[in-house]
Amino acid sequence: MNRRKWTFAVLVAFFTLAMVWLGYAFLSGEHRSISEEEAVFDLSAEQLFMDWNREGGKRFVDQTIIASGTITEMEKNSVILDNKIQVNFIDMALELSNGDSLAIKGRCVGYDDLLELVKIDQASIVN
Amino acid sequence: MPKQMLKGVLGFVLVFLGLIGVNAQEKYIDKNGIIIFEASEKLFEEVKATNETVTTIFDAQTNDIASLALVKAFRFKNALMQEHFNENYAESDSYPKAIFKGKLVDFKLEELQTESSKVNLKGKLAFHGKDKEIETIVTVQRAGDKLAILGDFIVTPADFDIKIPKIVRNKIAKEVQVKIDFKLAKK
Repeated sequence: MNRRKWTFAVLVAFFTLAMVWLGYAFLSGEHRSISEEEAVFDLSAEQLFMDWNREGGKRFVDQTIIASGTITEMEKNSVILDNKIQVNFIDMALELSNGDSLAIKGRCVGYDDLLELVKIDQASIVN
Repeated sequence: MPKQMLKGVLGFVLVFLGLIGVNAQEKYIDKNGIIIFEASEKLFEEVKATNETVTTIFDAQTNDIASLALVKAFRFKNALMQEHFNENYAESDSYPKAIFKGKLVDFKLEELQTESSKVNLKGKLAFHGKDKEIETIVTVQRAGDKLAILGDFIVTPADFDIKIPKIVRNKIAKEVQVKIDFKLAKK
């Protein structure tokens, strides 16, 4: 009898903890981890820019994208690929220089009319 | 006579070159500017978001300044709050950007020394399909080819026709403080 009570108590405690954890996870809401997500599109910076301007970018927004190109400009933790997209990396320290070719995976944020660039954030290098 | 003509041509060329020179060095750009907004209430969870990829272009010839923030680039600590912000308040699928267009009033870049100076910033902020006049004092500092602009101003959700549901009304401040931190480089 005593043993049963104990088992019951442990089960209740375990269940309660699980609920608390679930509730917490739901309320705090984990952020997406773009680098671990499967990319929905894989294309060149040029292509992304062209598609965006031709048909609007709705289908790209908030999607995980792999984009490739050559670095034409660098600023802080960001690079510009082929003067068409701005990529902001998650990590600051990056050993990159102008002229490097690379493919990145990141989240497409939207289109910047002022600079005429497609913006991508939370990026990591894939090659 | 030829000498005079030569002088005239030379003068013309010089003026022309001068114009090109002036035009070529008047734009200042920041691609990674920071905007933070906060509407936290004491005792409740922080309502605060940061956007670190704000674009700003300043034209030193006209004092025109334009700033663009993609709404989806605002990051909250709490992902769920971020989702609610995008879906229910900012409606970022329909209104993907916040754009400010204005002027640094009576600002003279050439007279600006290395110490910071207070400048009146005036313009219009477009967000969530609504326009709001903004007037605030910003701090402008110059260091070589760099120009730093720092400041803040207050807006309200009602300014942009954003309705806060009753159930969360006491958790979100009536006034939203917006901070800007731009570091522009001469292009």
